[in-house]
Amino acid sequence: METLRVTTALAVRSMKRTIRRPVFLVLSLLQPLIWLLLFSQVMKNFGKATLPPGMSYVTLFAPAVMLQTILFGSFQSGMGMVHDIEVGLFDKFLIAPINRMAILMGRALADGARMFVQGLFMVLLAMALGVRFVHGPLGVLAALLLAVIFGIGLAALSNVAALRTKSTEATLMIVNFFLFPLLFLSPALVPKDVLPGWIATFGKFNPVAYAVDASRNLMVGVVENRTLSTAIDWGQLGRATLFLVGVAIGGMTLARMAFRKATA
Amino acid sequence: MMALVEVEGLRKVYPDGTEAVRGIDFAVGEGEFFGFLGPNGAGKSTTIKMLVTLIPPTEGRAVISGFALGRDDRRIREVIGYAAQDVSVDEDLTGRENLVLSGRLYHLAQREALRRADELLELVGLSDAANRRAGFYSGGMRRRLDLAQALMHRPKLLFLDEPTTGLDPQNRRAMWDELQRLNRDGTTVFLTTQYMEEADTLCERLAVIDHGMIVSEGSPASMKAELGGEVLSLSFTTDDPDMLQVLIDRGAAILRGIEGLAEVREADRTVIANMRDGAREVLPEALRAMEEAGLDARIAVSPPTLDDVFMKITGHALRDEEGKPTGFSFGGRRRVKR
Repeated sequence: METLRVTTALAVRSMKRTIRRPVFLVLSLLQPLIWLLLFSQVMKNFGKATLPPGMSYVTLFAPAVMLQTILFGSFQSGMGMVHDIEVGLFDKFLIAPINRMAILMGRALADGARMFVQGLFMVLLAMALGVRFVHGPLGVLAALLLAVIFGIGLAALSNVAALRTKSTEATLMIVNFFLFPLLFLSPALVPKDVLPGWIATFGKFNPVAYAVDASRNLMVGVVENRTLSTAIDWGQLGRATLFLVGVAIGGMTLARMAFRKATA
Repeated sequence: MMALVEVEGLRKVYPDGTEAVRGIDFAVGEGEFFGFLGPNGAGKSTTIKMLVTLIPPTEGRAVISGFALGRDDRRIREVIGYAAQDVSVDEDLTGRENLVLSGRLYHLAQREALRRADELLELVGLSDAANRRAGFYSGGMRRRLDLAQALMHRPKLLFLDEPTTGLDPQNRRAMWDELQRLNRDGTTVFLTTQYMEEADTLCERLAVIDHGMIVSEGSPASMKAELGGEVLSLSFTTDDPDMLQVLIDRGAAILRGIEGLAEVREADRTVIANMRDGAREVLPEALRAMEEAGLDARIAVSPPTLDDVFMKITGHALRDEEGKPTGFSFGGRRRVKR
């Protein structure tokens, strides 16, 4: 109970920081916004050739951009951690008579809330661009939550980088180094069936691929071989949920270990 | 007097092999104002970081308020307050919010935290700035907010790591008043400083620390008394460093020839000697000797300072050793400017 209260207090503190420094929030939305607008133009004709008749490229791409926004938003977490270490606030938390895990949990809670808002913004933008969500608000909500769970896992991993390197630049580079290839080696930009075989195979081990498929599944329907199925593919959703929850638990466990090591 | 802090054989070797603290023993009594005086890199911060449970000692033991360090850390954390050498306030929170957060970390209920926050804001003179973000505070205001944060839970033992470093004389004076008042009201204070004036003003008892070892311990007055009488110093007006060295050497040689002087030494562009006899006997003799040698020097006589004590014990001046980095607990603390 006590730990929960401390966790909440620390989460609220992190959220206040996010709100009062809106420049990071705005910048984190700007990049996916440009992606969404540019790619939907660049890929317009490609979409006509590869997508189910009548489906626009924006519709295919929007769920992936929502996901991307959340994933790239995740490493603001590690950067926040580095900041706290640098200015000595971390030490202040460490000498308080609290369960030290509240420091990590409070951060994760605030990260989750922030990423949800970031994702929601992209959803609204997609709506404005005419994307129809076939499973309504519930489908969108489920997709957002799944993406946030994945995002919390990645945020935890960015904290591992932060605790190990204690450097903003290094944290940023480490996460970028992994995230970009994983994104391009997923069906984020094109339907699965257009991807070369080896990338599709690699997709079985790529959490981003699972997440992209699940977002599409829940938001705009399953796209395969120029056909659109608006029935939810429960098998895919189940596998993705397992995989992404696994990433989140794994990430948190590693963060916990890194935290213990750093503060031992 | 009961000992609130008892330290035995405390030692810290950092992973890079630096032995920052080399086995120290000391005790702080309940209600005492105790100080660690020493230059940069002497091991002051490392000692304090061990005692506030931030870094584990390599060896030795410490008991704080009856709790063993390393075993009952959480209980220790409940009774201590700590203000680090570098101020750490959340720049994105207001002064009041910073305090309330601290209160929450010490399990104060929200209402109680708010009440205590306002009380402390008043106390450290930040009431008017309570709703402004700490990022807009001046250095002195941040220091005061940082101190107030350490006081939120009414700790009975307060650890302050160089609490006035970086403050201007006026703010330093105000901080001293504040700390003395806290101590009068019953808070035991453990303070580190590299300013002998600060140690002299505040501390009832102090330990002089150098190169990770305690080299002397006692009250400032007793330390100065041990040194003996007053101190005679020679200073020179030249700016030419070569010339100055020649003058210092000649001056030192002359003083060594005078019966009533002892421990002639060089410090900070001056020559210093302890006076065994009163000024009445020694001063004329020194003046005459200078005159005969044709040496143009200013002669001054002053009561001994802790600086002189430090010099006598360690053979070097308190402030002339350029800091090796002090021990750090969690990564270097680099101040980030936005």
